[in-house]
Amino acid sequence: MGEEERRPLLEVKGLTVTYRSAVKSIRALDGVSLTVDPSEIIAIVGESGSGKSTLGLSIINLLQKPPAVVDGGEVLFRGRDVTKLPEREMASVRGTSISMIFQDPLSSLDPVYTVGEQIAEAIEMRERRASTWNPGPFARRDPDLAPSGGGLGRVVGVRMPRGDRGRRVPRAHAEEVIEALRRVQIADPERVIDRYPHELSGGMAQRVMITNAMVQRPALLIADEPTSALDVTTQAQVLRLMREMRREIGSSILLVTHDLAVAAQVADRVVVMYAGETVEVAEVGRLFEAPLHPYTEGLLNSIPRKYREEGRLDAIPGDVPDLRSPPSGCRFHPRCPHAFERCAKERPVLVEPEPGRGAACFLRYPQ
Amino acid sequence: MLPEVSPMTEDGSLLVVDRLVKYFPVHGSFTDRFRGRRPLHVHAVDGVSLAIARNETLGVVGESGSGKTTLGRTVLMLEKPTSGSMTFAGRQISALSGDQLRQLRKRMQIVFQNPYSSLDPRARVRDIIAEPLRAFGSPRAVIDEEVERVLDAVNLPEDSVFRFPHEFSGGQRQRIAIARALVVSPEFVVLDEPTSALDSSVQAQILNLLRKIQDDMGLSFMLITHNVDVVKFMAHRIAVMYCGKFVEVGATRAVLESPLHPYTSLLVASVPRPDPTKKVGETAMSGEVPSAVDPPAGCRFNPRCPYAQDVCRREEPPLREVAPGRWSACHFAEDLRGGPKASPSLPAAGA
Repeated sequence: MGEEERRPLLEVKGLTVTYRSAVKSIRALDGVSLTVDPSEIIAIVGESGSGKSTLGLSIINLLQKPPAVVDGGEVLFRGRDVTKLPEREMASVRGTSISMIFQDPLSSLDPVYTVGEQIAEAIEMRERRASTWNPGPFARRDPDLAPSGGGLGRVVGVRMPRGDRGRRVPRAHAEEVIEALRRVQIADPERVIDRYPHELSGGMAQRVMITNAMVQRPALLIADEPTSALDVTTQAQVLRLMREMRREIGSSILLVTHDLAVAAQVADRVVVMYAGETVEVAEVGRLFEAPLHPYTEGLLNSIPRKYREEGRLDAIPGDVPDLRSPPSGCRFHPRCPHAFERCAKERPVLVEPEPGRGAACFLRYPQ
Repeated sequence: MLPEVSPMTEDGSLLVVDRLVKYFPVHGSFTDRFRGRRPLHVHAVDGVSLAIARNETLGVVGESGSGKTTLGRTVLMLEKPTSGSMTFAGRQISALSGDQLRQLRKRMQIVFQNPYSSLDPRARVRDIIAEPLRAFGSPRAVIDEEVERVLDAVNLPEDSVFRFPHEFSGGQRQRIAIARALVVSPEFVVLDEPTSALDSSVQAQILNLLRKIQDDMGLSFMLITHNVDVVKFMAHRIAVMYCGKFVEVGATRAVLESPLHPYTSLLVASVPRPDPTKKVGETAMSGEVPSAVDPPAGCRFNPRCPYAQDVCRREEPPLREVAPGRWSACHFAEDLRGGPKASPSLPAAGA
């Protein structure tokens, strides 16, 4: 039992993902490893091209293949490699076990169903898996089959038992839907359940997405830039919600963000990525107190915290590398103020002198 | 003629805006007209007065829907104001049109948020940067010289001129957009979210560059952004905009460290700090920016304000000078003194 509890919920080992095209291949992830424990919030921090979104999509197995190809490594969720699960089985993992929310909530909500209907569907999916469910004459045999299974069922509209798919929220779920919306501080939830996604503001839509994820009580929530499209006052509300979701449901959260300050607000541990590689991992307090990798340090210094009269920012020179032709050696070396000869020739590996704390840098760990 | 109410340094102001209003009509259905329904308007900018001195940066900070972008565009006469007047270098500009306005554009420029959409993908960098000069009929020799000058000012290599925008990264593209704005040697530049589309490591470079350019060329900036950290670093003075109006104006440090409007307090308190020991959101208020078609009666912030009183729902507070150089549009601005730390525990204002 104790052994069971100590096992991480998610283990990513040496994951390598390439986007292939006829002209050129782009290695978006290059041997990335990480673990997520139950009820842990991990932030993946990186800029454009760091591979952070690809990582999130690989874990829930939603990579567009092709062009994406998993070249190596594995993603173990509760000990099973999701990259090798057949789509039918994966579909049963998605939603109830692993949920994902995206940057733009309006493109993830179904425009033709009301807010209440969409949340009720999520509740039904949760219950269907928890108990026996009579799939009805048109559904396939597997009771675990998720509505997103696609195929003919989707075309003819047999995504759900028909009776439950009326214009209204099924009465059995109405109370829970309203309560869930109230939890995410949506004013007047009795009226909001009858609205369509286009009638919501961005902040409301993102809270509906989070509600959708919360009612399914997933073991792991992957949140890809969940607040980047939101105003700062709404962002504060969403960040608080994520902390509450962990506290109340015990979900683990993998927060993908470009913003170190957002990571500081919610994460227990932070993984910093650069150009498809993990450059630093740390418990959140130690990362901000004493970053090990020059890139992390540079990112922290790039946040404008000074007033005008206090002088200039210590910006990182240069640009985020083009992954079509990544730099040799350490991918950060062309921008690194401490780079020396070896950095251009050899690739540093992530060294963790103690579990969960380390960096990929020759300066720190001559290896 | 100076405005009656203008949160500003009136001497030596390059730009003075007086009670500027910009409404956009909302197109109702065809039958609405026959039913005698009054046409609705989005009150994007609703009576904004400001002045910007030479070599000064005024930061306009607000959330989406606050009207900050419309303000920037209207100030440049890219949108025709509904009412109000604007004076640039002593000349009334709100009444100008045609050629006079064109001549003025040499002196006022804009840099847009997204360098991926603001540059013509089929034009070479030289042509992109030279376009404003060409529009004013500059001779070729002058164009070459000026393009070289601004490329140098924004730290782009000289050989960039024959390349296309897609060959550049986001940060470099924004440098090209800045060069294009500078090539006519303007005195005033509106920067509309100049770094929001950029990676954080590149944002810092561009902010440093903009400040250097301002110092070197003596420019005035109106910096429009949602990012409190960016205005803090860039602006001499801040104007906080909410639902079409300025709610607070003052020196940057004073406004951010001791806000005299509850919305400013909320905004500042919501900014996440890169410090895990300081969590935001514990006291964050709910609610969102109200509809600009039908703004709330009285103070527009009253539905979200923790201190709202009856008077706040009834009377719209004017923007008034509560201390030298400090302007607030709160009935109870005086009671908010004592800094943001005191405000959460502040007893209901006026009680």
